[in-house]
Amino acid sequence: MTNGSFTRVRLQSHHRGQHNVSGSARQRLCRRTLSEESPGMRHMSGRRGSSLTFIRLQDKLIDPSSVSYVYKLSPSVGCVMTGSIADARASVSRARGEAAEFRYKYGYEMPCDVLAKRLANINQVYTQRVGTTVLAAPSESSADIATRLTCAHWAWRQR
Amino acid sequence: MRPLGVATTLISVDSEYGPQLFKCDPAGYYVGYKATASGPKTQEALNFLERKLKNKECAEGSWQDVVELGISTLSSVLSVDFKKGELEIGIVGGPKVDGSEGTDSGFRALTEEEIDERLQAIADKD
Repeated sequence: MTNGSFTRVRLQSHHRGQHNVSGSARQRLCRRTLSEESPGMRHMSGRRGSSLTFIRLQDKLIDPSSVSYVYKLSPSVGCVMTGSIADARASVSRARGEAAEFRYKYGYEMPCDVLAKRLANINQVYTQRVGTTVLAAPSESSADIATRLTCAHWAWRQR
Repeated sequence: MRPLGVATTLISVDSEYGPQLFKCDPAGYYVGYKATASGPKTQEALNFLERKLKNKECAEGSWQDVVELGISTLSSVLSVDFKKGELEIGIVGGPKVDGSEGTDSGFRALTEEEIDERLQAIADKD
C-alpha cells in the first residue's frame, strides 16, 4: 500500500459525515489508523520566525499533549519535522549534537544556515548508496516517487 | 543505512542575516524561504502563502500577525477550525520573557494559552 492511498482513506475518515463511507471501508480504515504509528500532520512556517504544526489525531484515545513535532535544536534554532516521527527523532538528536559541537569548537551558536547545510550534507550521504529508499516520505507527492525510486533519483526529479 | 524520511524546517533569528527559514529534504536539497509549508497539501498551502506574500520581502507585522497568518493558512487549506490542543507553534523573535522592550532571539514553543489567544484574535477579526 502506498502512502498516497493511505492519505485518501484518512481524509474520508475526517469527513465521514459527508462522504458516507461504507461499513467495510470504515473497518479497513480503523485497522489502518490503528496500525499507523504517526498521526496525520501538516506543518507550515512564515518568515519573521514562527513555525507551526497541525496534528490531526486519528485515534481519539491518544493524549494530544504527548505528540510533538516541534523541537529546539539550540538556544536560537528551532525546527519542525515532517514525516516519520521515528526518523525525526534520530535526525533531531544528530542535529543537536552537531549544533553543540559547533558551539564547543567555535565559541558561538551555530547559525541556522550552517546547520541547514550540515543536515543537508548528512542526508545527501545516504543517497549515495544505490538501492536504499526513503520508507516514509515527508509529503504526499514525494511518497509515491520515493517508494519507487532511489533517493538519488528522487533528488534528480526534484530539481 | 537508509535515508531518514523527514523534511526538516529550521527557523532562527541570525545576528548577521536576521530572520531565517530553511528547509532540508531527505535527498540533501536545502534552500531558504520567506514562508514555506510541508506535508500533505503542501502545494495548496504554498499557493495561499504566495498570494499573501506577493511583492513582499517577508510576512509583515508583529509576531502575533505572523502566527495568525500561519494559522489562517492551515485552516483555510485544510478547511478546519482549530482548537488550541490541535496546534503546535514554535517561534523565534518573540517578545522578551520579562516583558521588557525588544525581541528575544531564542526559540520557544507557545503554550496552549498563547495559542488560544491567537485563535481568539483570528475569530474576532472575522
